[in-house]
Amino acid sequence: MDALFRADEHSRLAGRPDAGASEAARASRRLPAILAALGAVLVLYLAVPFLVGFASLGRADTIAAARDAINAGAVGVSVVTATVSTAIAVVLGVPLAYVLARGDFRGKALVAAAVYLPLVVPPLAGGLLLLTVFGPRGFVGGWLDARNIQIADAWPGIVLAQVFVAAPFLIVAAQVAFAGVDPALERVSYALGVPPLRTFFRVSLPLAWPGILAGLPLAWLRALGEFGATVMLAYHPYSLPVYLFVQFGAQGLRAALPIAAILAALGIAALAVVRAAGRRW
Amino acid sequence: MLTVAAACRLGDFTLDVSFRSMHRRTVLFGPSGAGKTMTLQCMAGFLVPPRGYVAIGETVLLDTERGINVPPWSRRAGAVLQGDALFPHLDAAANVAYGMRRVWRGREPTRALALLAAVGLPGYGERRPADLSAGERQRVALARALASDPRALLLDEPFSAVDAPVREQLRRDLIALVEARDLPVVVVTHDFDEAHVLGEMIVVLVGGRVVQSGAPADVAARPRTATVARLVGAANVLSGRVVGREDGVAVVRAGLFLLRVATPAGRGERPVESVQVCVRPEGLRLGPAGSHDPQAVEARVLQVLPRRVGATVLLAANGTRLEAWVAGRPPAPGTMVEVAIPDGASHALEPEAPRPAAAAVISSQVR
Repeated sequence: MDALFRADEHSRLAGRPDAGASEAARASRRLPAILAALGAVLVLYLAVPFLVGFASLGRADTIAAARDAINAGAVGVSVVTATVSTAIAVVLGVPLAYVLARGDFRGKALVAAAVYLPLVVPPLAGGLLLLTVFGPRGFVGGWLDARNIQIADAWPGIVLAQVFVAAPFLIVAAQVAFAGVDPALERVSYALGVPPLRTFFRVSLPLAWPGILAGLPLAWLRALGEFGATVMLAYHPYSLPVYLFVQFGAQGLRAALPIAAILAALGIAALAVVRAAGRRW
Repeated sequence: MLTVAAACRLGDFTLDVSFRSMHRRTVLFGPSGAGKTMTLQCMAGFLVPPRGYVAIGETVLLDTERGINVPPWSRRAGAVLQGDALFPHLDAAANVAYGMRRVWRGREPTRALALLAAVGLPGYGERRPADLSAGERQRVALARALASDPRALLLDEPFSAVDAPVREQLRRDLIALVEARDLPVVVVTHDFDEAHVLGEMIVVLVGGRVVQSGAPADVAARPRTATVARLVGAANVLSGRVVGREDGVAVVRAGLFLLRVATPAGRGERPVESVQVCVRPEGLRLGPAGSHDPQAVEARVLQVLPRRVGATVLLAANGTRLEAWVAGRPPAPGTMVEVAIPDGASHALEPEAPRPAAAAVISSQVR
């Protein structure tokens, strides 16, 4: 992702080549057919299910199913929890990413490895592990339960499950972004009399922001689509993926497909919003 | 004005420097890898040597014996790092305003534009670093450092990325700027011409140690060791033996030459002692072959290279290679000439200092 930004920079600096030059560049960049063919197979495989699946949707059915999903609260639950989860991942994950990118301390390798732990286990297993802590008999969940604060089978449970699986994506994106910021700029800032914390907000964070921004939809979509850990920790209230699973089990493919369409639409919308924001930056 | 001492080890490199400058413009000069940048980083506070002392004017910034170590952001040392390191997300004015202190609150934009004008960039406030030339970026970096009201300016190879004519102008402007503001400046460079132009005092670093310091003209005229002689362009270093003493100077035989050279105290007293002698290229006297100059030795002209004024003549005198700078018409390559080394054109060099014992310094912390 870092390389992508740099490539953009180069093409911007190089300016717009005239038509003749770009023709020549195209000729020199003719790709081996076998590579293109292999790529095409995969692209087809990735795209065809979307075309076939969504083409089979009847308009009336879809609208009705969407209305049901909204009425059941699943769309609202998912959009709100995914947004809250992403916000938590940003507030806690960006500082962590900076520490991992810049820090030089004992045990850094262990911390870096811990970030990848949620990726090591399937979300279903992750949810199981979360239950041992936040479930009604877990040491945190039990303590809160005694004070009438419910985590499992409640909104906080959904958020916890989503943060667990989505945060690593944001941390990794932000870490790469911070690593791409020239440390000399931070040192210059110190030399100009600006202490480290203010330097972080005035130099490191603004320069890493495009990279962090690129990680936001990844984390948000991961949270939005989170099923495994959520279904373990918070079966209720229904988030969209859980609702999809329930509908599929109760009424089959025809009933569940429109919910998949809603998820896809939300995902595309999220990517579009971040792209627009990135362009304005 | 400036006192610096630092001893530290980084990997297998050992820095052990100490110097004091009472001049406004001090140059740290030496080959790459000599420890110039490390020394500057000790001054800026980015490197904390286990043993060290840094004072600018009356202000002590580092004194490991008394446990004083002012953090970089409180030193106001005016460090401008290698390359210009402008903030790419800020325009020129915002770059300059970046480190302004509280007393300027509300007046930052006006002052930023004034400082940009002072470094020769009037009306450049809204330019982005990416749209500036190397020379302009360097000027913005200078204005930005000045804006932080520093106690000094520490410049690390400030003009190395700039074309020669622009570099010349930047040097002049820098001198005018620090003279007008009465601001001490330390410049790191590996270019002796630059050191000569910018420095009122030159500190020569080789292998992590100060091997010589003094006025640029003195260092150029009397390099202390063979390494310094090579660095300042005093190209002729001859090996010889002391064969006697006359009127308080040593008589040295080097190849066919018999030289009368001043020697440092305690050296060249005993005969048959081997010494190295530095002969400045502009000091050699060239004449046509066949004269009866008793000091002269026959030499073959190997190569003639034009200089801006006169020429460089490369000679071989019975196996001794010599470089001479001549002002008038140079002799033709391949011809025989006579070359003489007049009294006063040479001086004895000191042996290279041994490397400091690595065990004496413990490894340092890098901030």
